[in-house]
Amino acid sequence: MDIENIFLDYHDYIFKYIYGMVQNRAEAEDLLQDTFIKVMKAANKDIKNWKGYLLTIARNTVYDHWRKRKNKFSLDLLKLKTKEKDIELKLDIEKGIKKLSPKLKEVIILREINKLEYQEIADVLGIEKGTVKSRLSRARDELKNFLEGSK
Amino acid sequence: MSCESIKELISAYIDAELERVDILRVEEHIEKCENCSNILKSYQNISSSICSIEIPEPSEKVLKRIIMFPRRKVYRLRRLAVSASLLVILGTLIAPLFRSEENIAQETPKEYYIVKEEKTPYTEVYYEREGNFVLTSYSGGSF
Repeated sequence: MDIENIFLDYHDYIFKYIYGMVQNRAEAEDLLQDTFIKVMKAANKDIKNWKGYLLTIARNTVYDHWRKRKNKFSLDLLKLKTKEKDIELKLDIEKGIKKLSPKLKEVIILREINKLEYQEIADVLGIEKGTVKSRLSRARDELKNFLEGSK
Repeated sequence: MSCESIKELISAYIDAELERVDILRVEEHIEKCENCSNILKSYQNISSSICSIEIPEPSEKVLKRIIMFPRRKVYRLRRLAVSASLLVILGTLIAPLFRSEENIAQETPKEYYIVKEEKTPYTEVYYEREGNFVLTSYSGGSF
């Protein structure tokens, strides 16, 4: 399949995942671009499951981005702090998701926003289906506690 | 069944990821247990509020930039190929005009001609090549 059509078909879906993970539009746009450039540069275009493949690349891109940010965190501390302030999350649930650890955040995003089944989530993350189940339960539990605490 | 062990099942229950046996187990339990029934309700609320999060769309500018990326790359490559082949053609055409002194010196000159002038003393050394006189060295004052 032509990469342009792949992009047209899936960019929305992938953007939702990335946005869910970083909760910032400009950051998500940059990461969407990085994701698709990686895909375009990749030699192997013989992909059977594009949705899963793109999510995996997007996930790596998000994690790389966090790792880089962490490395230069001390330098950009001030800049980041002001940047964080600009992000206004309207709903309590968004604030709750922001507080989740990446591991719990990604299962909840893949389940609730990307509507993946447990097996599909397991495939994207490279973990057992049982782990998906327990992480989702923990994520919901933490969100529930957060929402009850913020009332 | 204990409430703690049913908790994980509740989460999978709302995702419709349970076997029939477990579905019955959960339904049986929450009927009797108010606490777990509340957990189910709040998990369902969490699900629906996540679904109601407004996710912005990426801007047109960004989408255009991404979709243009492969074309830009191909265009750049094509342009590079065109200029490379032009250079090769041009190179073959004009190479004889730019023969280095070294190359010329390597050819054994047939004859030398030394020209001297009194007013502006200088020396030119020529040799004959294919009927032409070629200057091979020059020393002396300025013109």
